[in-house]
Amino acid sequence: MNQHGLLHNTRRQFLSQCVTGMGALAMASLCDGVAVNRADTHHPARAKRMIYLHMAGGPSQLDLFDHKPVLSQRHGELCPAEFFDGKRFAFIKSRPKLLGTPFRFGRYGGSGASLSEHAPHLRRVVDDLCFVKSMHTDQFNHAPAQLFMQTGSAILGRPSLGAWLSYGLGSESRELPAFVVLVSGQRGPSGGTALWGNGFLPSVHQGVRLRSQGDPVLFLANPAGIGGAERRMALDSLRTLNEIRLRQTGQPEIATRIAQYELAYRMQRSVPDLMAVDREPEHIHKLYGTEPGKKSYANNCLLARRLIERGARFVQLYHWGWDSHGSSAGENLRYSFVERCRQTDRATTALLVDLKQRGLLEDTLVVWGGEFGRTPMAEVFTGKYIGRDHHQHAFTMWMAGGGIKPGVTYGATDPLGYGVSEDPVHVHDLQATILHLMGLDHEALTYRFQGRDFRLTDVHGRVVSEILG
Amino acid sequence: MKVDVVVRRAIVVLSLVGSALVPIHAEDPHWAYEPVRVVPVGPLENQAWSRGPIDRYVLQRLETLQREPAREAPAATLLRRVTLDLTGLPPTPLEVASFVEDAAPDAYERVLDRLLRSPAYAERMATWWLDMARYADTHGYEGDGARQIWLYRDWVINAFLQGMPFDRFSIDQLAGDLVPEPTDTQRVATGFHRNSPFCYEGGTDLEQFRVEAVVDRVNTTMTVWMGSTFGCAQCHDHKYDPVSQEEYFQLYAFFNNATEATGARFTAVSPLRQAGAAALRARIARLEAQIAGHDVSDFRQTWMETQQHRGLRVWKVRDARSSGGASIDRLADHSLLVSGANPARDDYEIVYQWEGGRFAALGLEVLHHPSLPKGGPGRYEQNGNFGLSTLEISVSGPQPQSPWQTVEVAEAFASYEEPQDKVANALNLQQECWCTNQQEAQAWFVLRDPLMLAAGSRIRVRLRHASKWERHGIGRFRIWSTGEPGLGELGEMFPALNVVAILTKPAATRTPKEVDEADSYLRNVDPAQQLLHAEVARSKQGLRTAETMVMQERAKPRQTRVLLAGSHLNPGASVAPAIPAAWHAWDDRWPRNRLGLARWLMSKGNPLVGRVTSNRIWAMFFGQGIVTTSEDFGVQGTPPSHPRLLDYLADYFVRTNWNLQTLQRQILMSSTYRQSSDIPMALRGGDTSDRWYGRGPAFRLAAESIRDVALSVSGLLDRQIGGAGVFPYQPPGVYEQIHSFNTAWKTSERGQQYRRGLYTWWKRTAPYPSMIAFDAPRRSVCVDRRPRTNTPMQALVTLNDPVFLRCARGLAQRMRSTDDGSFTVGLRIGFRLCTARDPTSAEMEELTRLHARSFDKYRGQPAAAHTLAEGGIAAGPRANQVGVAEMAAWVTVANVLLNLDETLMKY
Repeated sequence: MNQHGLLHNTRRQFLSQCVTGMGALAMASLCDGVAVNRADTHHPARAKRMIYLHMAGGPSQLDLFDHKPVLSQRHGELCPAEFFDGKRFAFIKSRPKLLGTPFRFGRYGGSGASLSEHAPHLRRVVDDLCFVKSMHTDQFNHAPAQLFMQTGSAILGRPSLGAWLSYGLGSESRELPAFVVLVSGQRGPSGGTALWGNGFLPSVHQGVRLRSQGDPVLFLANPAGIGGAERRMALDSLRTLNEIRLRQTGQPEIATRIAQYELAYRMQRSVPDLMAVDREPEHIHKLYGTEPGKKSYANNCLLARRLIERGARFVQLYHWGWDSHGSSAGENLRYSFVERCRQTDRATTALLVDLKQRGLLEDTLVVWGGEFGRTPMAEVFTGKYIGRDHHQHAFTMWMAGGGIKPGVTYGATDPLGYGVSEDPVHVHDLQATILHLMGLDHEALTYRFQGRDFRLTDVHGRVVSEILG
Repeated sequence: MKVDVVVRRAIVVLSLVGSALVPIHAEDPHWAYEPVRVVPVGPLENQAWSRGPIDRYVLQRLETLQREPAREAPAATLLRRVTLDLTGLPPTPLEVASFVEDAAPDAYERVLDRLLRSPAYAERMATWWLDMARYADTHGYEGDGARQIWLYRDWVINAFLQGMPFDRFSIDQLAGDLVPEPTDTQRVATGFHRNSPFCYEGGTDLEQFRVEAVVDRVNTTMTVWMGSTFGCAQCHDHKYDPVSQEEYFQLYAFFNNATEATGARFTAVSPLRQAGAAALRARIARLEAQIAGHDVSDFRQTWMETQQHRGLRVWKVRDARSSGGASIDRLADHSLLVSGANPARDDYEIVYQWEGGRFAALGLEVLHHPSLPKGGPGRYEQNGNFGLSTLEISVSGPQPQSPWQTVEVAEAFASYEEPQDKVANALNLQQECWCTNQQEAQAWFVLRDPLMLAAGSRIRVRLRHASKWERHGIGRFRIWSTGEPGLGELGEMFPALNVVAILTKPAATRTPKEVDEADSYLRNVDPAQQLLHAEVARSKQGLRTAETMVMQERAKPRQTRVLLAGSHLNPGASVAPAIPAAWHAWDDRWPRNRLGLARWLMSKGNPLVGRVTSNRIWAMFFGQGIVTTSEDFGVQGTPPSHPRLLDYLADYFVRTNWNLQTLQRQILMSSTYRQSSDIPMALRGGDTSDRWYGRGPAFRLAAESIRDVALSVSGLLDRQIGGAGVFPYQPPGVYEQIHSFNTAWKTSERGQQYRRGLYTWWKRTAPYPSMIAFDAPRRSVCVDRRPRTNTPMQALVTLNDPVFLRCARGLAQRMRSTDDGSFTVGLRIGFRLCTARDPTSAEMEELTRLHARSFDKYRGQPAAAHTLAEGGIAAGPRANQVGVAEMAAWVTVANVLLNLDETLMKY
């Protein structure tokens, strides 16, 4: 432990007091974001907030970013024996054939980054991005790999990245939760709500999902028959009664409860205001491709920007549907993968453009990526559909904004795109780097549970200083 | 052994020189591993306060701090506190009144007796235990499919209901399957370790998650019984506590021999009903013997006469043809046997000369015959099945040139049909068909309108076999008709044709088997027997069984190997089941399996289990343990605030034969527990934390209790005990949006919606939202203490969740319909229900003002008032508008009462 340990001991004490219901006023301040401010970071933060675009299902790096001409030349050959023998895959059961990308690639921007034809908008911001082509993970199934990416462990029960950030940094907003989750696509991510769970951290740190159906925050709206005036009247009464009780008993938790009811009341106003995407000007809708009233990834990108502007610490988007096995129409590289690109490329680009034009990109970290990559071998080679299996050994992610070196590519894969050939970046390294940019030391950000000091990065992780700007 | 601990710790300390992290003295043995030692308290200044040893330990500490204990809490507050602590439910106003008025010295003790015996106590204790057991109704991970293991929850409730001693409670859960001649309930108890999550995602390496499940079982066992946290030794030697990686895998070996994680299932009667099961079985046997002994000879006669009177007749068919060239021959019993050609598709046509009278329904029997493949009743050579796709009935006059008229069949019933191939499929021209899967069966086709046909009229029946199954004609069949189906008083809609066939034979030609068949049928329909039958059916309800997941050992043991860095892909040296050397001794009479491990955990030599468990019971009432890290009694855990008190409790618990209720009673009887929780003026505004128990406990209720209290005070709570998980209302889209196999949340029927929180369906990837808001865990891992936060999300739940609004309506109803209808009485009752005390005048004033102002507002908004008062359901006559506005005002008040700090807290 280093000097920052003291800081965290203080925080831990203060949380454990909350747990026993005795330091509840401190908890109230934590929720209000007063007690926790920038001075609390381990080192100066390069990013004050973060947007994480999780492409659930595992998008193919080989058909978007990691261009492999040699793979295309050898398309149709049986893969080298060492790609298969003794290796584990989710679905490939016999030695498969190599699958070259069916798409055209080009080089774009001053950095000359390679992009496939299905990322046409992204060309516009390519010089703001840092591609990490040497990502690798430990897991090759969706739920465990998503959990691994978001919580640092494939096993259920650990706090998620957002929960750690909320725990470490608190919220900047008095009216919004620190950690907000937005989900689009036909279904939610495989790992379920555990992906934004608080694990063993206090539950204030769990991600709050803003829903696109019904109340954006659960139970936000007053019940039918209770208007704003009636609610205020009832809350005033409640407050009076609780204050009487506070005077009788002297229990500080009552003061906290009064404050939390007022915060809930403020949220009832601020969240609908946040969600009112239709108030954005026409050129913004054009930029993102949003259609107000329709739920979509584009809507969520726009919401992410609105959240960031209003002080949310960490906004996480999930967009499901990148699982391109080739086994059905819905999991086909030629159709559904292209469709996912079409659904996301413009809005993702718009988000970066918009953050930049508002001066927010310099202290907002944006991360794009799936839970793993796809194999350079075909899982399904012939027939109506083509596709690739889950691949843990190499995939591409990109980062942009707060503290990230723009216009660079870090790491590389072998000529067939099977394994990392240069500068490997493990999921725990990515997590360490993210925490670092947010001003936190991944080895010092710990929480004691079941006798162990837990970290997001377990006992691993290296800050990838090469990609820091 | 002790030396070993010291040596290891010395190494740890050396390796951490320069760090402030481990302020321990290497030469001291760690307190938690030392034997429990009771040290009495010396003389104290305050002689009057202590009611027993617990108070003396607490007071000793307070006196060294020069602090006075607090005064005793008012009777009503104390009753509410202890009722919530022991049952998770609030006391009723009647219970409060009778306790407050009861001046007898044992009044409080009698309350404890009453509470400890109540089923609500068992449910509350189960709620506590299920977090540690990580009980859930789904597997977790992707898909997160449903699992059925609620019999285990029933077992836990039942164990607390029966006051099962903690050693048996532990051994049955850890190894109930391995004890000599295990009972059904003991096997159900082993569900404890089948609660581990499992990943069934397509493409998953099953071994990876089997290993994770075994790891989960090791870690859970060590947390629950040893207060030791072992997770780290999975990957490397424990840094602080005396467990090496090899020792970890020796423990792991105890659990490594269970059938796969997808493993064993067991069917049993719920443990909650086991006690009455034997008596019930005897009763059923008695009733059945009574039925079997009943003489039906008189009834036989009556029954046949009734059938004849109804116009039941068997068709003596002379004219039957096959479209496919098969021959159809009539046998002596008037059944028709098909033989010869069997083309892909064959339709039969039967034309029958009517004898006259009413024709209301057609009966079709399909029968076995030795000449048919596999004995029939169908002709398909592989298995003797048939597939009847359509049955058509037409009628015509006696003259050959009379036109045929199709008769409409309204419905069909069969004595047997396959789930996918129902007899109703034969009512249309589509491909689906009726199939009996090789069984004999009978079907009745009921005409929309009964016909009165003259003698000589012709009835034509077409049996079509046009399903996708080829060569599936009926092989042998018999046709009947009746003029009057469905005479309810005989308890049968249609006569059993097989019985009619038997009884129409001359008595001498009936085989004994046929006589039996007929008689047992007649006994079932004889009205004289109906009461007995109903009684049997009712009794059998009590013996309903259900399937549940249990532990089971493999016949062929697995070889356990150390998994290097904790990964199942890196197996190292082989190890055998053993316990870590630094801990209490193993007795070689114990088997080296889970049962032996359970006996080791519960053996007298183990100082930890008593300390750990009594510490948790303490925490249950005081909000924190004497060791606050109740899951970690190791070197890294916090030391006990009152080490001697902890040892006293541990010793008392073991001495009183592991009786949890005795321990609980001992704690609850203390002056320490009975103190007021109010914070003295002198301390206000500063640090109000209190580890020395100079005040009574005060903390927020657990998630389940928040729900149960609201349901209880609103009069909605359904008090059914035990059973499968239920689905109370939750907003659409929460459960369904998650990537999952079982995506629909089907809200339970009326009463089931209002069951206690512990019965709510627990889905790991999308838990019930209002429970999660109040810090309920996901139950993916063993959790022995929940955090207690205070957030705006919680306010939104209790203010706006439709479940809580429904509770507000229920409470409003109770307040309005007080005996004398008086307004202030109503307010008082509502307040008392929620807080167990009378409101002060200031509180009454505020509530009165709120009611009056709401009433004013809602009088001017009849639509809003309706919606709030009635939940949007169309209300009664307009004349009642004042009544509705008044009700809306009551709902507003009730909503505030349910959100009072005091309602949500235990003081």
